Amino acid sequence: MKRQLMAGAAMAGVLALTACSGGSATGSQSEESLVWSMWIAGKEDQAAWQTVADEVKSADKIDVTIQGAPFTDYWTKLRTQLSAGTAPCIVTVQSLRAANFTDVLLPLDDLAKSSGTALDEFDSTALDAMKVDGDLYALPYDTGPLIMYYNKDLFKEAGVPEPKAGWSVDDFEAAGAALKAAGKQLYATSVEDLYLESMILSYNGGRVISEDGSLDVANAKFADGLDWLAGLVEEGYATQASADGSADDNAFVNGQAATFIDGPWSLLSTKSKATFDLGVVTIPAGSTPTTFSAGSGFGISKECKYPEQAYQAITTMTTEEVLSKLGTEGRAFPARTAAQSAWFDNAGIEGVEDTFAAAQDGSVPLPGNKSSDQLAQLFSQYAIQAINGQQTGAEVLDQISSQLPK
Amino acid sequence: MVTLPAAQARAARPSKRSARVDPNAVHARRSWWGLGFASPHAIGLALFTIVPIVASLVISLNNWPMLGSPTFVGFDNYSQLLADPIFRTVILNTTLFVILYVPLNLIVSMGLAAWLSPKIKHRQIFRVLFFIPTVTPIVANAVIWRMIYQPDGLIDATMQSTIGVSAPNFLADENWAMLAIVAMSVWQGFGYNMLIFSAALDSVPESQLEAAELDGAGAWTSFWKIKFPMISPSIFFAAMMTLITAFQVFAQPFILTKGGPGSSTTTLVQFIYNQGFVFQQLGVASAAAWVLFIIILAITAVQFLGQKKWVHYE
Repeated sequence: MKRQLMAGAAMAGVLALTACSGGSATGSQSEESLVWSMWIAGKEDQAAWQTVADEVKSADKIDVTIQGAPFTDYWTKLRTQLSAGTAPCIVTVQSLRAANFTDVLLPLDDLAKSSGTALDEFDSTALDAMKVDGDLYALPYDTGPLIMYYNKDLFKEAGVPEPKAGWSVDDFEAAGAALKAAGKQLYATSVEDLYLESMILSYNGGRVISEDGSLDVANAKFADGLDWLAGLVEEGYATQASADGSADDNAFVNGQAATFIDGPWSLLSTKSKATFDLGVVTIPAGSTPTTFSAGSGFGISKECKYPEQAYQAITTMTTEEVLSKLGTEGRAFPARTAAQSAWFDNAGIEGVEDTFAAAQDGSVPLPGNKSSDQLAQLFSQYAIQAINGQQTGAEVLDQISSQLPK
Repeated sequence: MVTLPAAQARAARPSKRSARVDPNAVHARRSWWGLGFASPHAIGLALFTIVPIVASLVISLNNWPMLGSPTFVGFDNYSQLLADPIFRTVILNTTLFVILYVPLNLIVSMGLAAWLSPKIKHRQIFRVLFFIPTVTPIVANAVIWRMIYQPDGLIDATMQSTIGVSAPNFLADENWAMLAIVAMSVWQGFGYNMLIFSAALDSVPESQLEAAELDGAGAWTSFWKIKFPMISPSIFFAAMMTLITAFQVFAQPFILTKGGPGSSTTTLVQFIYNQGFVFQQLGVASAAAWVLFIIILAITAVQFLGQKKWVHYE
């Protein structure tokens, strides 16, 4: 009896050890059960993406398990998993980071051809953003140009006319002076790559990643852009830069600053948090209005043993029906043209469609680069010194550039 | 008669004593049992300590990208680190943190422990209060301290409403960021040492203190001449552990400043994290981890040598 007990205990121990060595659910993927890694912002987010997973279950009889991480940790976690050989089959990627993952993602062109996916039904900007060197790495689910959110109530209080699509940097600075007189700040500063780079692109066309995706960190125009932002901070028009990625969202939602930059994907969640009337407008332009566009999509890891099933799953996850639903919930601005009306109908923000049309007209894709994660980290450390006026833009870019691979 | 494995039986044969109970055999049997009992720990040590240490040494000698295949580069990662001005800044930052944090932590914890003598009313409540920051998750603490430090945060808002001057932007100003991190870390960390010192002080025999008092020693003298020598082993332990953990500081700068502004608050462990997980250079990260290990080892060794002069074991 004792011996049996001992044997039982030993077996249990062995089982526990083997369960640990699997590390996670990714070890047990099969044709009917796949793991999908996704960035998750909270319970509601989790629930919304779960409905997408449920859709795959009912349409394709494939169990999709979500493996979530907050956006900022997502990339670190994903890369660690990919290098440790515990990759999930379905991987969510952001357009500007797709280039970092081409060596671990499966090009989807052949699968798309053999399954007869009508790729032309996707928004062409969204689809192009998911291509690296002509190969498609993900089916996009959301897209959109970066835009400026503004607090209508604060503009009214300061007696500033509401901004219109195509407004200029001069209009922006004039609004800054008026808001300052009313004791408020105009702009909630961000040093996050997408937002900082969009603001400066619109100001003077300066960019640190060229159109062909190569790094140009010591770009003189971009340095001027940083100095311009430093001027706004010095004048008291803009909040000081912070390493905290949510500082700009918070300053805007608290009513401390009247504008900030974000993508369409955050519009409905910001609207639900704001206690004021929310408007959207194009980013103020130095000369011609322009902005970056970005989006996200679902790809398949190269290690995945069931690419056909995974492709089936991501096709279901990006159908018009699913994207319309996500659009209605404000989770994503749909990457399918036919599903975009659902998002507009539900936004309930005056002029949003015109703003989007204008922004989209002038938008250019923000290409990815293999060093874009490093660049984002260095911006959070160094760009704040330029914007808060401790160093010039050129000095800061020089230091960042010296730490990136040539 | 004990049954022996063939090899041991052969080894035992020449002995005359083997006719009765062979002590060699007993010894062998005992050592098998001993090995059996020690194996869970030995396997654990091998799996979770020795293997990773050897692995990190191997990785540090390779150019090991997170994705892709490694190539052997010898000591290139180490020479690259030593030539890197950022790495030198990082070592200086970490040293500055240690120099500021360790003495402050020890002074604050010792001061409070000395004050919390059994004569103080409700000392248990104070002890718990002072210990709370140590047991709350450091990430949550750092988030709260960010709200205290940031523009329009607690300090800035208070200064504006009372004296009408804005506070510096502590976390975004090179001159303030490290001090802000040290202050937060001391608040977070003193409780642990305070508890150790408080317990050690309680164990100092009352009779000796009374004898000193009769001989005319004041509070100051009896602290330095009696209490301090008697609790010196605890102080040595606390100083050593605080020093080691101070060299490994990570969460505070990671949450509060991300290592900025510039690289003014990037510490060694954060550098290792960035090299490994953001820059994806596992070789460089492992080499930096070995540099950290050697620094800690050297300082610990020096402390052990120095303890003879001031630590009194009964």
